[in-house]
Amino acid sequence: MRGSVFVAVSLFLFSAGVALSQALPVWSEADRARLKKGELIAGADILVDDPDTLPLPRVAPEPEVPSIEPVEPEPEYDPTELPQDYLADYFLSSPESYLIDPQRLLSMQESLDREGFLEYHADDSEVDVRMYLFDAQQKIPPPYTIQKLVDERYKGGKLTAVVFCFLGDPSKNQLAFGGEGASGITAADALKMLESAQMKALEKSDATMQVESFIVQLSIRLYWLEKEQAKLQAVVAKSSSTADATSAGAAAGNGSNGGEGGSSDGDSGNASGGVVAKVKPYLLYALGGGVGILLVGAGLFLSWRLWQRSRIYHFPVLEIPTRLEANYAAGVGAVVAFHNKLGSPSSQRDQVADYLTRM
Amino acid sequence: MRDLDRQYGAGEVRLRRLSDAAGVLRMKERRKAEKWFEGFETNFPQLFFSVYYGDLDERSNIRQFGMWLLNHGAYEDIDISRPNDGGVLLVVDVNSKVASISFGYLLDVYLSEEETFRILSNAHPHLLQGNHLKALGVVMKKLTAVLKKKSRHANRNPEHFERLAGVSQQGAGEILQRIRSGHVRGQPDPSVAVTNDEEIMR
Repeated sequence: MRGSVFVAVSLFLFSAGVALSQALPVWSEADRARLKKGELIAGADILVDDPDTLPLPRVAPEPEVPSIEPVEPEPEYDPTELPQDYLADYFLSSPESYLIDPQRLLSMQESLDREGFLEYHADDSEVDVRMYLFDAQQKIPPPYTIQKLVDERYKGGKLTAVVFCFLGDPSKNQLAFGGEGASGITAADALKMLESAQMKALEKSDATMQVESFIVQLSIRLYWLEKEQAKLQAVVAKSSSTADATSAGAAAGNGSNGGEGGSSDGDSGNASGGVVAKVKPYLLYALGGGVGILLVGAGLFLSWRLWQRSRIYHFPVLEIPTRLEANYAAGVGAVVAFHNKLGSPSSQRDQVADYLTRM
Repeated sequence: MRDLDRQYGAGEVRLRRLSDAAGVLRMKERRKAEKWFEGFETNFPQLFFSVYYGDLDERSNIRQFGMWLLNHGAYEDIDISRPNDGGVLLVVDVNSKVASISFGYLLDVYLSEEETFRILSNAHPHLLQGNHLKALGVVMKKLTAVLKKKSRHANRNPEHFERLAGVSQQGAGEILQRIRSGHVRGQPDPSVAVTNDEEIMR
């Protein structure tokens, strides 16, 4: 009993001693004043090794709000307007490629394909094709026109067909010719060519396919134009050479009997002229003869037809005894039903009993 | 025939080459058909072609009716030099939609059931469409072609058709005899023979 009391007393004394040794700290007046000023941070001696080196808290200055400059509203997109940036590429420079598409309306591959075809055409033809590509609704801003472009950029050069091609609307496409020999192509020819290419393009529904069809058809028409022009030139050359030879021959005849005068071309020209002159009077007869033969043939055919129509056919009359007490007719003809589309005549065969068929 | 007379009448029937009782042809079409008939008669002075568009009752057999009409028809617009022996009659029943061809004794050996079937078969598509004028045109065209061919053949080799007529006559007699004997065993009975003749018609 005594022992336990002793232990309790000793425990009490020990805890009281501990409590006394761990009493709360008390602010000194000086520290309190520093704390109020903000020069002292409570507990800083725990976090910082040397409380004297404790940096003062810095208050970050508020960031300045940048003033918003008024932004000018972008002009509304106008599909009919050709952007100013591209005008120089289109109208103020001589292009090196055959396809002029500064707006990149075609994809890279499509551009390469079209360019390839135009190059192939240029290699094969006397007439180059320069294709300016615009969007379907774009309008050529004044004062630029296809004729002005041709006059400024292609005059005096190789004969070139300049095409303004509107991607997706081939009916707006324009065509003009510039360069040497452009005056030899009439406006009517150019219009026919353009219309033909437009019609071909309009057969396609896809815009890029329309461009391709347009170029191909234009290339074909240009090929035929070249052919015609070559033929015309050959005729002109031939007639001029004939005229030269005739005049040379006349000069030789008028001269001092210089019998050896005149070139071999002149001789051949004279010979062909002579043949034509000999045949010419008979041409009319030949033509008349041909027409006559045709008329005779037609007449014979008509006569034969008329004779066939009016030809009379007789049947030998045979003595056929009457049957079934019928005075005039006992002929058993066929019967065909047509009430059902599925009942074809072939399915209606063998309709008469065997004993009725003639033996 | 007596049976048919009882059904349709024994007297003559006045009619024209084109009898459109069913009213299937327009006036213009009728004129065209008349021209075709005239052309046919020009080509075949012994023959004539006629057509009957009608609406037969259900009891009538178109083949029997055609034969009866060709035997009793008194055609107003056909010269008497062309008897009904040389007639070809196309009967079209617009009600039951059936067409049939009958022909007189003159053509008995020149036309066969098979040939008339082929002629009608050619007109079948037009009949199906209800284009009766066109069907008539086809029938006449094909019939004319067949008859021209047969006429040339008959004039080149009349013996063939004479033989055919003889055989036909003989053959028919034999067949009739066989039928008679088939129905009545033993001795042939004339009354039964008539019945069988009529049966043939059906």
